[in-house]
Amino acid sequence: MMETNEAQTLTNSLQENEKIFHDRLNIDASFDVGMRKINVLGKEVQFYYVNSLNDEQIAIQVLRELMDLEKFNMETNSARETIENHIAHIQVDVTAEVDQCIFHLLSGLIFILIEGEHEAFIVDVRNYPGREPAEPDTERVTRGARDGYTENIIENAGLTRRRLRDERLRNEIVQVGVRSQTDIAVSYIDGIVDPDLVNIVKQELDKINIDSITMADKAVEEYILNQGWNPFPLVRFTERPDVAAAHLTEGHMLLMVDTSPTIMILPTTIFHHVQHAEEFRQSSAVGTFLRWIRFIGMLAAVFIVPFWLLLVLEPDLVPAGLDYIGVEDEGNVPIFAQMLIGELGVELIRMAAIHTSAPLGTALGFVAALLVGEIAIDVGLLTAEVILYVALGAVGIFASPSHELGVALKMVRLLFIFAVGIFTSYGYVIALTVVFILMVRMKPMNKPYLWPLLPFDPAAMWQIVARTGVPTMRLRPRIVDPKNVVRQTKP
Amino acid sequence: MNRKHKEPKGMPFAVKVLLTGVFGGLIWSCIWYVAYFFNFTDVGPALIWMAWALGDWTEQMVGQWTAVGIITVLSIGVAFLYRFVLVRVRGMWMGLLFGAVLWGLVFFVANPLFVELDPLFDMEGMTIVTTLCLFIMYGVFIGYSISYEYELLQFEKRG
Repeated sequence: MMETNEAQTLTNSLQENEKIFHDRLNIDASFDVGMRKINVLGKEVQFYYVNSLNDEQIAIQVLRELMDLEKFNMETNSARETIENHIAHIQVDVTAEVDQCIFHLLSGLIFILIEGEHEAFIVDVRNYPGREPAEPDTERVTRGARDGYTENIIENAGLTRRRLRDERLRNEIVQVGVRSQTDIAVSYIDGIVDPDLVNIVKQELDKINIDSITMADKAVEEYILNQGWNPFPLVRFTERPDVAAAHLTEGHMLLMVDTSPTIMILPTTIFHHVQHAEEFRQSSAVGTFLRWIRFIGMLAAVFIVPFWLLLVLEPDLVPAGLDYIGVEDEGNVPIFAQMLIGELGVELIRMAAIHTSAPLGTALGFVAALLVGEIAIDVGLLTAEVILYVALGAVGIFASPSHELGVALKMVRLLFIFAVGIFTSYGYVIALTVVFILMVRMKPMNKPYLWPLLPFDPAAMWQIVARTGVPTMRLRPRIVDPKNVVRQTKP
Repeated sequence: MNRKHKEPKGMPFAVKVLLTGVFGGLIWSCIWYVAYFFNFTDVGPALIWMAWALGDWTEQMVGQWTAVGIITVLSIGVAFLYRFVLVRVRGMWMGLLFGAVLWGLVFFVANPLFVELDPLFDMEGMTIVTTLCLFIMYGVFIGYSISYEYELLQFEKRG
């Protein structure tokens, strides 16, 4: 941790002030921290900057305006006032605190010291290296907005505000991390959001006392939600401003962490992870259809694979008329082991594909499909059915719009496979029940995770089962405990 | 909010209890039927027909589906029972216990009523485990839903 400096203030002597900053910042050691001295109206003026975070053009403008004062030999009673009047920028702050100066300097602002003055002018000329808003890779849509959040919190706040001109939209900012001083914005709409929730989150943020949170939103999430060893995602991440804005108006709150393009939506239930922006870009019928296909895919991915394994291990369970379920040729390896090999293989391929660059990825695909798929059957290591069901499970998981939920479901499936492989049908039924009870028990941010399925809320469940038309959604979801329940009224 | 517009309101509590019963019964008896279909349990939802010796049709699809319907209707009563007796107990554990007790009532206490049902100690282990698990989940569904709704209503009244 950093040693705490006592609140140092600037003095009237420019030499002393210069020494303070030279000592604390060691300006000669870093190539991107610097200082420029000029003479204005007979006084020495010092500019401190971090050129890697400054917009040089704006800084030069500010500098030129002050240099012009010198050129025209202006007469003045107060050099300080004249200089303050001639700082060519809209955002100028005055401070006497050394810590403030340094914090702003390292955020990309410049500060100006004047001979004989014990206060500094801080001018916002920052320009962070970053990219333009682009469509997020993991949340593509066929129609609709193509902008996505970036690594810049100010741009992100702007992308949200562009969609909500509500005067009650609040973007409260706090700094977390003693060294990193990372900006975290808590966004919500006053009058809709549950104020207790906002307070709890702000308190939790205040309690964080870490040196840096360079891993941004994920680190913050772990502080706020006490995830423990629970694999299920307790917050919804999104990179789409339209999704974030829609949730704001529903009464959710957002957490934006600077340097991360993913925004956290709180509070979240599991059903936030199975919906996709695409559904809301299609007609209700099509949206519902897409949603059901996804549900079936995800349920199949979790339940069918271990269930098939169970039917192979205990052929008595297979009902008459479905005798074709099972394996034709058992192969040389026990089916349970084959299943594990298959699962491991698919997971390895997926992981490898993420870390491989695109040209190599194609090659990887060939190797995976041909070698692992074809040849494993030919040599009798895996049977065709195992490959089929493992592939079915993998594809079903990919249908989950949330990567985090997908991985969690995969782990649950693996648990079921082990339960079936070791304890057969007892294992399956008991594992199902235990996982169900544990999921019912989950209450991130004091909201039941399986809501509205359990506790059952018929009206809200209908909105999950069907992608209802926007004109019919009259109420905000109760789960966020909105202060203003009514979303729209009947004409 | 413009006063001329009609303010939409949420469902009354009693309707929610009723719907919780209906869907609780429907969902879990359907899953019960699936479990029966795949031979996890020797008794399906058609258990309720076993109180009377009605013949073979009850064991078949017609019997099972009508039993699903009857359980759905009966569950309304179960839901209201929970609503009037245990609604104040917070959380899900009472629901779990409620389901287990319900299972005990059906499979142990009322066992002699169901003519064709084996006594509990002669039943297959798998049948016992599956039906117990189903009843527990059913109990959690009905119990937790109703008590949570009640808790929310109390909270909204106060706040």
